[in-house]
Amino acid sequence: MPSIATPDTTGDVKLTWDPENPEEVKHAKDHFDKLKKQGHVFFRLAPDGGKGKKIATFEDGKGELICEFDPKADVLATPLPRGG
Amino acid sequence: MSWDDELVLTSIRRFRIIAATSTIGGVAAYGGPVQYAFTSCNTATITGTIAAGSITNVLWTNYPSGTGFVPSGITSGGGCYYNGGGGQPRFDPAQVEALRKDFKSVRESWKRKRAEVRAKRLFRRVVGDIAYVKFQQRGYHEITGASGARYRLEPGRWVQVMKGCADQVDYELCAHLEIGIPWFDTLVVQHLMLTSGKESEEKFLGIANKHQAGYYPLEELRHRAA
Repeated sequence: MPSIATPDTTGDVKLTWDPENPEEVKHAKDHFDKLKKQGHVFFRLAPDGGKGKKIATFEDGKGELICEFDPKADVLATPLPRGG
Repeated sequence: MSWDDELVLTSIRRFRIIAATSTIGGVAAYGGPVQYAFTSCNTATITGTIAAGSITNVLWTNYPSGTGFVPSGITSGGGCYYNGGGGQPRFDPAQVEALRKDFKSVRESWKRKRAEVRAKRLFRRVVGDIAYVKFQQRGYHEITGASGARYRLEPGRWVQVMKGCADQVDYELCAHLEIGIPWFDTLVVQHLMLTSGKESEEKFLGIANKHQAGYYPLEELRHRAA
């Protein structure tokens, strides 16, 4: 089942949905858009591990995120790390 | 009225005397405040007189009207300090407070543990089983970035940038997620940003602070992470 996982203090919060259910897909897309507005970066997670395939890119200079919602993907939505 | 161990005990003692005799008027004679931690009491009997304001019930949602009362069942309390009424259990408020504190502490610790397990699972899923086993053996996760550079992701939030093929650290980077998020999540994000494409790798390198090699006590951190 596709999902959007977001790291947080509980490990990660995951939203899953049925890709055949338009209502759930819409809800997931709204969630995706909301995270996008918050500046999250999105990575598609390979089902068997390995490298994530990036589905979002940064617009040069602005650090603005351009991304597309994939209703069938397992996605990790993460805030950008900060320097430490 | 604030909770006070001495005050609560005094109040309980007085309350027991009243309960034993079922004489609510006796409370007023003591004139001391009485605190209750009952959550409900649907069958309270209002009798006698207690000065208004001498009873404080911090949890009772069903506080009876009147100036005095005998909670149901207290006459057969059999040495119990408190009777919740309405079938509620009996607890000493001081004990309740202590238990709540303990429970909160356990719950927080359990939540933290669960968070770390979840984050570790995610890390394992992202990097794969082989890399995960290697990470456990070596204490760090080694990757090749999209640009071809070699990185060692260390427990915590540090990334070592390696010199070519040598087992030598060129410099160290530090970039992490919000403090409080399990560091395995930070490892996941570092891994994905560095391996998924040049763009995200450059973005990460732009964010991370750069330090000279040996800046952090990584051996100790690896040991702690094991």
